[in-house]
Amino acid sequence: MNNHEHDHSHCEEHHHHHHCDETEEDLYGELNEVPAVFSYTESFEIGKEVKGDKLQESFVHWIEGLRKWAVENKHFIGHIKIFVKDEKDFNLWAATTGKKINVKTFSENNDYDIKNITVNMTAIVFGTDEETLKSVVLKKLDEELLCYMN
Amino acid sequence: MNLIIFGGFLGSGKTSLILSLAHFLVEKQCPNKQNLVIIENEVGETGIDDKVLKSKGLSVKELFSGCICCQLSSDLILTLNDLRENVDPEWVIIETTGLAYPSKILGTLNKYGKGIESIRIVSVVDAERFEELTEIAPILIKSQISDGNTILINKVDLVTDEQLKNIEHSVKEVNPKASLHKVSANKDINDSIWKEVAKSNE
Repeated sequence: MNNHEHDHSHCEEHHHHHHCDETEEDLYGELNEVPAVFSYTESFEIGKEVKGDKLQESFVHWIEGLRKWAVENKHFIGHIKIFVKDEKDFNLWAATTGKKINVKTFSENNDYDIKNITVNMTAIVFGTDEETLKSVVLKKLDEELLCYMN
Repeated sequence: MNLIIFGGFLGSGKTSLILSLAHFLVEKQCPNKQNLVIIENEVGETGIDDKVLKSKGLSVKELFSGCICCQLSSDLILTLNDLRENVDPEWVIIETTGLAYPSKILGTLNKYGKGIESIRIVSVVDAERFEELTEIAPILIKSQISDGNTILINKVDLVTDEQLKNIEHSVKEVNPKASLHKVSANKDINDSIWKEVAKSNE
């Protein structure tokens, strides 16, 4: 919900929405004080030839999909972050708080076909429940990785 | 052991700033990496930040699946006691979860901690989300700010000068005594900030 697209140009008192028709719930949906937390670790065997850059693109796309889902459902992203590595030199850290996605890699050389990866992720999202969060996270990951599996 | 506790909301940039501080401490203060240990606390069952820190060759102890300001407070004490007995590092950096109240951790440490020479709290403020967070979690954000000895307003490159001025004003209102710095963790952090944080332990 931090990326709400409410137009504040007509609001003199943006902070408190004094002059807006929308309530905080309209803007942000139902905010639960305790966030849903889903953590996930899994190793995958990559069946097709793929290099680090392509994998990085897919994982960033995964995070972007989750970010969009949270915004569309008026959930508030505490933090969504992943760390992905293979058995050699590929590693990728990506995270978002709902704004842009920060990506860092500490790899020296990504120019080889990656065979196995381990994905670590944690999503902390306010306004949803753990089961829903888990389901969305895994569904969107499947969509991204399916094309690399035999 | 000198403890530096990093507080601040989820995604405020604690890990990136800790990487910078760790680099400074290893380069300038304690060339032996064994003299620095980072305790990484995350609410999830899987650690992410610990892997980033470890990939930089740093020594990391993990405390996952809860918060050291409440559920895992005894685990924190056990971890620190274990470190004191087996490693005896000069520096321990504690990265709290973004939902932690640093004052509660300080209370636990003051009551049960052993062999601790000094404790300093560095509070990280997310400039980009400051307005939202103070609406959504006002008590937590206020507490995280008021607990800090040093406050780092991070992501200053993502807000306007006017916004930054307002944030600075709000932070000073909550905690006028803290040393305040405006930073962007994606860029180099001036060594003078870390010197100040480390100096308090001399």
